[in-house]
Amino acid sequence: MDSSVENNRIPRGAGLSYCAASFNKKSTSVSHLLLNRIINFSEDEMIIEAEAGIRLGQLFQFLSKFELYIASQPGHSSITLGGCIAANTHGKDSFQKGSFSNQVESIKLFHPSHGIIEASRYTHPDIFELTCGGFGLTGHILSAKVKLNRFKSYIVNTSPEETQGLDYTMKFFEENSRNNDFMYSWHDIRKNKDFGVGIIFNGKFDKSITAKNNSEHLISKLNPPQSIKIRSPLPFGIFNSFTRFGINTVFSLKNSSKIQNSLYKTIYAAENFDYYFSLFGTKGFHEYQVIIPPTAISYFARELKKYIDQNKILITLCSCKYFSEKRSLLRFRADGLCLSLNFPRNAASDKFCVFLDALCIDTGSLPNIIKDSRITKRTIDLCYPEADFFRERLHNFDPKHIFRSELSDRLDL
Amino acid sequence: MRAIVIGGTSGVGRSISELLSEKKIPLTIVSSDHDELERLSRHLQITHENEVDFLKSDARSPKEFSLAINHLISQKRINLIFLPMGASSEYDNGCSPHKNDTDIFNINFLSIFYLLNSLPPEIRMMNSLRVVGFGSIASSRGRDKNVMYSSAKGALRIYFQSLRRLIYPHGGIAQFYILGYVKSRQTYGKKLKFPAASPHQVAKKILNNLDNDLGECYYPKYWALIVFVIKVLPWKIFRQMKF
Repeated sequence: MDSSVENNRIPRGAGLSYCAASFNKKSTSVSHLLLNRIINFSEDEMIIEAEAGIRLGQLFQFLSKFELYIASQPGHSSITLGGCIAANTHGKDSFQKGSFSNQVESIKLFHPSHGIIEASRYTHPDIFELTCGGFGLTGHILSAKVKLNRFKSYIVNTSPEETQGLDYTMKFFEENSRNNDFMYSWHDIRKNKDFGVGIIFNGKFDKSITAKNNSEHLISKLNPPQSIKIRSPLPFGIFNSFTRFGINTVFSLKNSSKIQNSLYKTIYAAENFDYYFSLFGTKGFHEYQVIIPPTAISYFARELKKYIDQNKILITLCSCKYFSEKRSLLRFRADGLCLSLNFPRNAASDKFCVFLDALCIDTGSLPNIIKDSRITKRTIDLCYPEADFFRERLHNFDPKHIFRSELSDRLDL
Repeated sequence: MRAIVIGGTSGVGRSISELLSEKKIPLTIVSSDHDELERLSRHLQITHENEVDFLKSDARSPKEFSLAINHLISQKRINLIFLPMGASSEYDNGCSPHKNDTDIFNINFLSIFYLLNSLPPEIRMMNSLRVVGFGSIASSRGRDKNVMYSSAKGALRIYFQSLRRLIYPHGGIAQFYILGYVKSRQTYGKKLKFPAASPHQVAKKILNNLDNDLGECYYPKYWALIVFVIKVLPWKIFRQMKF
């Protein structure tokens, strides 16, 4: 890599973000996919050092041989390690282990003006903090050392629990977080229906089945990443209230009893639903993800129900996770209920997003920047108290703003 | 059985190194980039628990290059030799003398020629010897681009025809793959006229056919037809083509 070139650039991992975090009209996108090697591994110290472009599935495939895994992984195995750090992703076990940056011990970063920097919580902590959840704006993450966790089993037993609403879900999460290894919920949100009725999934490692007697769950072949043509083969979306009803009914029936899944399928659950994304057609969908403070959940749910009852909004997926972390810079982490909503992209959905922005500001909630391709600087400034602090620190580190994406331009980062 | 992959840190070479490691075939990787060699060999040792070592050597200096590698081949009794190495330049237009011209010729032809021409006799006479060279569709007919590159690859192709005859009596096999578009840094983000094969596909094909005396082989196969058409095109048409 030519360090003398200071044209605008932006690192690119798998390119699976829901917003334009890895490209921009004025910047060169630098693919990291060939930086995909494992550099060091210590089973005893439970640490792995790998290059940023390695895909999570590749890491899982290697680590599972040693009965180890990385906590707080997002739901698709094609996402890269560097992407997880830059977006500070989370998973179904983040209530226990914290978000992805908590799993990172150190990073090796390249910036044309600074050269190669080794950053951790102890050396260059400022750069480390800025890079974890920094959307790739501090430079190219070359490699990272990540903490590992020991498998309790290859199998996760997931038992369903009925929930009557978001308040109940939050209470359940708080009370049961110590007894479960994975927790999330699914809600059927329809017009004029009891808002938030759904299923809470409690996942626990099945300790009766050890890794050793279940080697068939080792992953021999990874699913190849899907191309855009496969992800949206239809020119139009086929989601309407009828198909949504059908899919939700099948989903709730299928998940009404105890399920036994491999750890791989539990972590990378989105891979089991690849067909779901193709149903939106080429127009695609919005995902709005937000952490609602515990005290604001009732109000948030009430206002959301009111809006959905009065407007033509088709919620195709609603799910929740439990978060318990301190807010920091522009990272998506806080105390509260992490609510995700999916809805087809159309004129009504744009207005709905604006409504959700206002509701976030009103309730002190935290919208997820990496999931939203249209969220504005104003919303971010009002929702993230440390947004200006992030800008100031980034400017001090990179006054020329060499690393720029559509996201950074839109949010003036 | 032991292999050497010269140019083994990127593209098809890297995929060959990975597949050989998967098969647990002890391996030496050669390249001019020490950091890349260190990282890849470490990766292969960790992920496949394979015996992998490396040698930094620069094919721009053919004599030193062939001496160092032949010493290694003889010492380790290497019988699988893969040569997915090459270099091209945007200045290779045949109009102005450039330092790169010599480098391109040395890397694509002369270093390989010196290396294989001075293979230790005990290796040359091994019946398990497999030598795999790589050509390019660019050498099918001279154009006003990649002038030295296509000339060198063309020369290498003829040399491999000779090598095939030279090692055949002892049971050795020399194969020469003429590659069409392969996904690489050069093709990244470009709109190509034909689909590009992945380095992994190419490497898999090569390793699956290691014991077949294929001689010359196009990959992907349909390039044989395209090259045939290019070769028989009348000069009046060919001279007007821009590609």
